[in-house]
Amino acid sequence: MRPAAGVLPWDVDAPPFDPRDTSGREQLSVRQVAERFIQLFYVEDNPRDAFMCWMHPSYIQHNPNAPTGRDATLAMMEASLARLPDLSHEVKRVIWGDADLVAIHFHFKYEPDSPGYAVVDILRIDGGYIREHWDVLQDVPDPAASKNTNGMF
Amino acid sequence: MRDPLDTTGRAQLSAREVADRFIEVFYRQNRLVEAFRAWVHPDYIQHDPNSATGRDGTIAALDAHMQRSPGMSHDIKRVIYGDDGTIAVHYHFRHAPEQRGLAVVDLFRIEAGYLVEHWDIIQPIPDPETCKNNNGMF
Repeated sequence: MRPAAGVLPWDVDAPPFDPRDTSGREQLSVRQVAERFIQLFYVEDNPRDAFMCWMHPSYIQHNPNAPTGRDATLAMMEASLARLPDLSHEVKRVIWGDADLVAIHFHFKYEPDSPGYAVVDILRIDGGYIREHWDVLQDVPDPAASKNTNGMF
Repeated sequence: MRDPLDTTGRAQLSAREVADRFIEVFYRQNRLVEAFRAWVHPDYIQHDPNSATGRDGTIAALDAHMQRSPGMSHDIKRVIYGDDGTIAVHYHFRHAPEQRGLAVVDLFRIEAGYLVEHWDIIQPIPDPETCKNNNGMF
């Protein structure tokens, strides 16, 4: 889904790059690969294009609830999306690392009116592909049960 | 690295220098309260829903946490230094050595020599038997 204004440093309705253009991929910077993937996966909710364009076929998956490798993970995501067509990823901030890592902090919901999950995805990018993925996920609690009023984001 | 508790000239330090000093004292030396007194801003904005906001409220909680779990450990797996003073620390936390523990990412925003804001995500590490891959969470 579209993030709040200013969270991503490009116009998400008209990105200044073609997020599906993988030509010359090994010349793209870590940040350029991450921007294209973020636009497709989190903003446009298009896991198929995001994965087929930017995930290495043998990327290393560390999420314990997902299989390793691009095609197996994509199949699982497409099954989720078919079951829950309103699932959404709202990016809250991106940590553009100075080396090969990028962290995306986002609010994940299966359904629009659910409290959802706070998630950080960490991507390792090399040679124009995402090669490795880690994540951590936590339920967003009832605000009444929280010890501060700042929210999880 | 110089003394990681030395905050002299802090406003001139880069976010990375502040982060590295805090990381050394907090995660590696397990001196949680000292790390907070040195590097966390008094008006620190806390987003962890199980902690009070502000430095001193969090210090009280950390102190109790250290008394309860003296064998705790933070095994840092990777640090991401952002281009805008935000950093991410991905680590394996254990309350005691024999535990499977938790996978955690702490995010900090650093400004003018202080940690001014914190978010985190905490997930229990599952039994490897129940995992869908053999790569581990780190």
